[in-house]
Amino acid sequence: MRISPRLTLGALTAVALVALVTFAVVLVDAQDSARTEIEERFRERASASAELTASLFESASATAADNNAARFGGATVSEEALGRRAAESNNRYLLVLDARGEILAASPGTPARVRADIASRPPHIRDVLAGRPFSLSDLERPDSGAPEITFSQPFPTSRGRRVLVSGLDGRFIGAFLAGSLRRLPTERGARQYVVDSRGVIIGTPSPDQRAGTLPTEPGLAAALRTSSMGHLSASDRRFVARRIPGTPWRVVRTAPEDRVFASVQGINRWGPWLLFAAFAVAALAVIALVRSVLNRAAAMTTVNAQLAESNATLEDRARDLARANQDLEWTNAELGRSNEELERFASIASHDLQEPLRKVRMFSERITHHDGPQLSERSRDYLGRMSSAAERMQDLIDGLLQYSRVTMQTTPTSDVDLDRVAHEVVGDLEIAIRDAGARIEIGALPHVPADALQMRQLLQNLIANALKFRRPDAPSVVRVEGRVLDETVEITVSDNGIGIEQRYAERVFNVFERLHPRTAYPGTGMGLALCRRIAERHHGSIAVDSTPGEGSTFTVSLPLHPTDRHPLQASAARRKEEDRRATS
Amino acid sequence: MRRADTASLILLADDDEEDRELTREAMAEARLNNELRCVADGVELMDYLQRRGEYGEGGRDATRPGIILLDLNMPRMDGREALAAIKNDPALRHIPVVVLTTSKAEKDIVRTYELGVNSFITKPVTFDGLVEVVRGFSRYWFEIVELPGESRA
Repeated sequence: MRISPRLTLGALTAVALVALVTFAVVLVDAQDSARTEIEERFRERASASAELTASLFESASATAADNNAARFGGATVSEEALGRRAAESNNRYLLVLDARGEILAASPGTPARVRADIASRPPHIRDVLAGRPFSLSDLERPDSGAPEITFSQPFPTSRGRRVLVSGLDGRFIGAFLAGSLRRLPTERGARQYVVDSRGVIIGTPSPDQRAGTLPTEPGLAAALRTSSMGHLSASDRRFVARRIPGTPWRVVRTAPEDRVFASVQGINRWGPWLLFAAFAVAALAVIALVRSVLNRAAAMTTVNAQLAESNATLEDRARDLARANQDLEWTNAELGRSNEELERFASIASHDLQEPLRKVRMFSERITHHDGPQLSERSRDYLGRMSSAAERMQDLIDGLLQYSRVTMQTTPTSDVDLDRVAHEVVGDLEIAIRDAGARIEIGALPHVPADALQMRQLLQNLIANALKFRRPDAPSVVRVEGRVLDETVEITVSDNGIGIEQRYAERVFNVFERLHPRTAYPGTGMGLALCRRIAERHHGSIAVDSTPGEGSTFTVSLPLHPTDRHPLQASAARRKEEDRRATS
Repeated sequence: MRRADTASLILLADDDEEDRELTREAMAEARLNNELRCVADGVELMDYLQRRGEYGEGGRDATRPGIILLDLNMPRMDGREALAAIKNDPALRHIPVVVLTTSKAEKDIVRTYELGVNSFITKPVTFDGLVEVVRGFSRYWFEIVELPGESRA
């Protein structure tokens, strides 16, 4: 049975459109849910900061309680002893209250306003009398000088419970809190504060914000009065506030909207769309090619019967191609149903796409083999182009698959001996090295905590890259070495190849980026993108320094103690692992 | 269907009609005289091997094949299940099974060898590659190694 070419094409186009639209809708949906997850993580980080800060206060007050009982638990409390203790511990003043809140003793020089304040039973004194393990006041600014915070904690004595009230220097507490906030990981451009119940800053690591004032970020102070999370439209920043348990204070984090959502923006947002575009282009290419092959065949039918026979074969092949294409569309729709995370999505798509491509290649080979002589020069040329386009798409998909595996297939970090990895890679590349007539020098290389397989991919890509872009007129020399700088391991791969102009130094790490035509240097433009992704997955970075005509040096920097520097990420990963175990 | 010669009969289980056709063409290209019979999935494969359904008494000929070529991803009963069923059947387990699939996944390779497959071959991406594969495995299985004859069956 013959199906009219027009009908075949129409159906093919309709199926392609429906599948592409479905694909797009599912992709948008998956990206939305990734965004929600990030908001959740942003909030969790603030909660973790608040809990960490609370535990600092709790542990400080727990260790102090016994000492206080020993020092100030007697029948009478010496005001001189309180004065000495205040001087030793950098407190402005110290008071001891009895269980009802009456002042038993005060260090000499305790201001009268402090006594009056305590007598009025402000909330932070009421809290501690009611049994809280400690309490903190808002930041107070006595007219006489610097900011002050009242820290109160009960301690048991044989004569009943007493309370030690300390006048702390606000700047000292502020610096202490700023220091502990600074150690927590943040998005680039983020600010963190600890504020009191009125929103006044007690401490912040941000150099442009001052303790004792309201935050100057436009809109933040007002937003904090009414809500605990949201978006500041004036500065396009996201904020979240979390109460420090057991205190009236809050931890506030703000960060630029685009940094918070960095992982669903840029390459991470358009990467899957790139794949989507590749599908669309492939579908269009197949339709266009089928059409031209059909048109050509139809023209030949009118010439003679022999050509009509070959036309029938062509139509058969075209149907096969259409079926192969439908397979591809079906695969797309099937994949679309999966709303797993985007990485997994890309990985599955890449794998299943290989199958129809394989058919496209095989059947075009068969057309050439069977009917090559009967086909016109032009049709043969089209078929040749179709095959090489399919082959190239297969390479691109392979590349994307590898790229997505970097973050998807995570193996636990182990102690990796880079020296051994480098020697193994040189062994694997033996033939390429011999063909290039190259010399590989391996200098001292340290150990690094990393994913062993990915370190191997990293060195393999960098060395293969150096071999590929060698100068034709000079024997190629590639040098691999590393050193430990402070908290960082720096690995360099240098060559004497053709080099890169400095203005392209950033672009070479983009996905599918190429600086030379395919005919000059083969490849998909994925190798260095993969290297950057591996470096970033290890919280490191990669850069190139190069002089055109003289050579390039690629430098990879990896942190020596990634978990120390990212304690919350480690605990988030652990939590995720526990969630998975709980649901499976 | 006439009875075939066990020693040279190849039974291919693959749901993909194009792949069956390409394999047949590749055998012709490689000038192999072995007879190739095809089944479309694991259920039909087990019917053939255990002489049930349309291969039952008085039905189509179900001469025991000398070797089975098995695709992994098929409807109704996939290649992994069919492989397990063959290796669990004392009357069938001596027939060599070669997996011929598009999968390159490490877990498929490990899993099928655990189930007792005799070889694992990834489908080539070019027709010439397919001809090479067909030529290679038939030389290995029908010329180099000794296989048990039908007397075992």
